[in-house]
Amino acid sequence: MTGLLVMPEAAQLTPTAGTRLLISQTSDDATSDQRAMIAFVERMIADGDLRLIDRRQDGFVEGSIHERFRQVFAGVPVFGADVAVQRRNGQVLSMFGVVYEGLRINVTARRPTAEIANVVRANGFAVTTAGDAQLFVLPAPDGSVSVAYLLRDDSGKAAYVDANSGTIVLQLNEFQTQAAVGQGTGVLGDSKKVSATGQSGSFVSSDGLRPPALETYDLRGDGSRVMTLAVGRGTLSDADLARSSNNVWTDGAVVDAHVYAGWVYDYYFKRFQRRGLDDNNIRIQSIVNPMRATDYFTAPPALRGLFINAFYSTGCRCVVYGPGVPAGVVAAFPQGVRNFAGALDVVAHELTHAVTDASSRLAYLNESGALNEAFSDMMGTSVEFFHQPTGTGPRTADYLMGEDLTPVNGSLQRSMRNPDEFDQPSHYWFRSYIGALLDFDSGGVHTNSGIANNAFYLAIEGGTHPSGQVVIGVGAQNREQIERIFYRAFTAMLPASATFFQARQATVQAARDLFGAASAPERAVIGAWTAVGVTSTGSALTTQFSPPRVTPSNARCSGSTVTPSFTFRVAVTEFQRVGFTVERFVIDSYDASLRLISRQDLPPGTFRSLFNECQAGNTRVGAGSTACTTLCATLGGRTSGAAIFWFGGTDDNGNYGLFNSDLVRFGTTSFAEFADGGSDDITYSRTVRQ
Amino acid sequence: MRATRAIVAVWLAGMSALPAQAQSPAGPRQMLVELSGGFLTTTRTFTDSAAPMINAEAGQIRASYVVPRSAIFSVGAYTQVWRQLSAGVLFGQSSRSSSASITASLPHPFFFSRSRQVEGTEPDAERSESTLAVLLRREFPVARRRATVAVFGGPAWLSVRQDVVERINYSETYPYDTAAFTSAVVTSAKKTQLGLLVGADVLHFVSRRLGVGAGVRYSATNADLPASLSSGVLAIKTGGLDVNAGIRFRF
Repeated sequence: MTGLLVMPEAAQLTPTAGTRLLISQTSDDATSDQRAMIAFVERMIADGDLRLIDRRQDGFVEGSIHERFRQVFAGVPVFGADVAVQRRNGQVLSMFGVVYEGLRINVTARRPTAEIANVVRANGFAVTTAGDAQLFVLPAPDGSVSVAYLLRDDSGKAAYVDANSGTIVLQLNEFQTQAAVGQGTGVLGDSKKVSATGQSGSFVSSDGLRPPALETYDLRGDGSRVMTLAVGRGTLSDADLARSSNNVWTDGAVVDAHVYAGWVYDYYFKRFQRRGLDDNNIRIQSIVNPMRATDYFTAPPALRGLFINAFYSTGCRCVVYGPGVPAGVVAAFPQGVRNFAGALDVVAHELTHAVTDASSRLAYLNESGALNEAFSDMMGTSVEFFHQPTGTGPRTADYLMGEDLTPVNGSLQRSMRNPDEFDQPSHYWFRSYIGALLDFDSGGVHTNSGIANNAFYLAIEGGTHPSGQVVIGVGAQNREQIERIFYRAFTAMLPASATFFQARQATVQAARDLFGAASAPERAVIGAWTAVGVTSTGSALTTQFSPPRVTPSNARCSGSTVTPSFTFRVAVTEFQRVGFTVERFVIDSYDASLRLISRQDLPPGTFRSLFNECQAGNTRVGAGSTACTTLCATLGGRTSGAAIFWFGGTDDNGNYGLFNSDLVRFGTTSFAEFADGGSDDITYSRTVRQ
Repeated sequence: MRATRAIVAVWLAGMSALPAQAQSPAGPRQMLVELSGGFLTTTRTFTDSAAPMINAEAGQIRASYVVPRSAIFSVGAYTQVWRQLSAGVLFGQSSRSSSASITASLPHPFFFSRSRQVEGTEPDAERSESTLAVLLRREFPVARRRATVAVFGGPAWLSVRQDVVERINYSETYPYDTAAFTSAVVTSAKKTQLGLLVGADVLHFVSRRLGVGAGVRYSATNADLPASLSSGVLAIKTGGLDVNAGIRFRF
């Protein structure tokens, strides 16, 4: 064997790639040829023809060292020629690689790199300078060899250009699908890092670094498609992903929706060790640009709701961020509304709906719906405090929700510190709209959330509630304690039909679980709920339906000729050991689309006459007692629907209370959407048990 | 260093007591061959740094090298050109295992200005130096010519091969708030540079042809290694002061 021949520049010999030697030497091989191969490689190393480029200790086999050498010819790296050597105690254990023996070429490059850069630019490369072009010896399969410059552009394309003829001799795409950190400008003009994925020479808004699939789709103003997706029809594809040619992202909505979704994931992981929305790293999907902000007036009325709104859709398991509207377009917002993706608390709020959807599934109506909204607000503002500095103004953490959406305070905001500032109640006795499902925001879910929001705020910051109650909070420096308490209660302990009272009890229990009985966090939570009027001193009624989903029957209810009918048992239990006297008894009935079709506001005597199976007929439900009845209902001939029962009255301590039941479902009701209501012939009558 | 000097001084003192031996200034040209082993006393330190773009933000990587003292072996041959003036060549070779302390500031993949700090060591950044010098040598007979003091100097080609950290490997997992140094990617860079070598030698001949000698030599140059953390050149100093002793043959 001979070493590599290094020719002087003036040599006139014909260039040749020589012989391509495939080296494959394992510890079992001991033939003379293979020993000669090892000796040959060692000689190349000693001669400097194989240059060490990496050496590292074997992390698994003690005493082993792995070295990697690159072949150089006259100081120029040879493309595709390298050798990996494993040594143990100084001896070669294995050796794999490719080298060229007998390589011959003059490595002088005759064309300037500027000219080479022009060549690749003419072939579609985004190369601005060839200053860092690297020279390679490029053997070809046919035995020829050239000296070529390697130039790359930002999209991952690479070209080897003959340094003498100026022709492209090899072109590669060095980017496979791989995580790539880019840079973007958010809605508010701030610079952020964007975790994207390189794909076929460009970049898509798919996070390649976080554990779940985290993707942001740009629907480019196709509102009709967004609506279809939102109700679970149609699918999003890779073609819908936002895309950048150079990983520099300029669409603020794409940047913020994508980046903030990642920040929300980070918050849940770091604060609660939660792995994403379902704690199992389910896909996180965001949709931006459902409409173009400038198309507000030309958009069909059915799509107007896509502008000044953001929502989580269970249909597509995605969050849709409205583009807002420019200044001067909508009278209520003379200075316009920014893209909803630009507000971190809004993004966290919407994604927390998905967390709720995968945990407690708090029903989106009445008190449970208000708690659902409140929990999203709590986590929304907590994410702000986790990622942003405390303060006022854009991109700072505070107890306002949605403050970054508009240049000035407006109706898009909520205040956790002072809910009354934006027409939310801060006390339980001022809760509104409960039961008015259809006309008033599903029973005031966006209104009554202020009560729980204020409790959350007070448990952290403390202070004097307008009711005069003084709360000693845990302090801003300990906000994590309250965040953990509410997270635990709202995701692991509350039922879907939770009431404010249950939220109080669950958070108190969570505080005891995490920090011990009578701990400062527990006292803060109790004080906060008490301040907002959710107390443990009065009655509490809970209603159970048996069965919870009632099968239709062809039997007729007493006094009715309508079929089908639904027969079920209703049990009302007082569980706070304080007697409660019913003064008002309401049954709201809904059709299969959850449209209100009947409200029956019944006198207390009706309660007394009906609820006499578990106790003697009485308007009073004794402390810890249960009143029950069996009812037969018709829904005007409908085969499916639902009902909610309400009980208003005063407890033995003189406190007024209003308690609603969960839904009792009739037939195969699914309740996909809420809609406007009507009225119809609904009956509820007593069924005498056989 | 101080102990070495003391030994040399004692050796010189003893040598002066030896009987003198006359040397003939005329006749055929004399040749002197020396074989020496010694000690390169100079510890070299140098630092390399770069600010590569990592996660869309400029990071910082710094490698601080310490090249310790080491043994040096040399062989030289001189021919008399005129009286006590001779010319010759000297070849010296040393090899030492240096180490590199590495610190890096690695930008976070999700956030600006939240770099992770990592530290590590590359223990096997080997360095070998060879020196080929063309020297003029002037001898000063002392102690009735059984002993000679020589001074010499001339241009030297100092060739250095140094393992250089080119980049580092690190491990990180979500949420990427910390990172850990795992290894350094080392490349071997070589550079030959023209420099200077000067020295002095004390010889004592125990017979007509065989003698012993000891001396000091100093060689130095700056070399720009064609490898570095920033993919540019890495400027280092080579050579240094060595103390040596060995046998001498005169023909």
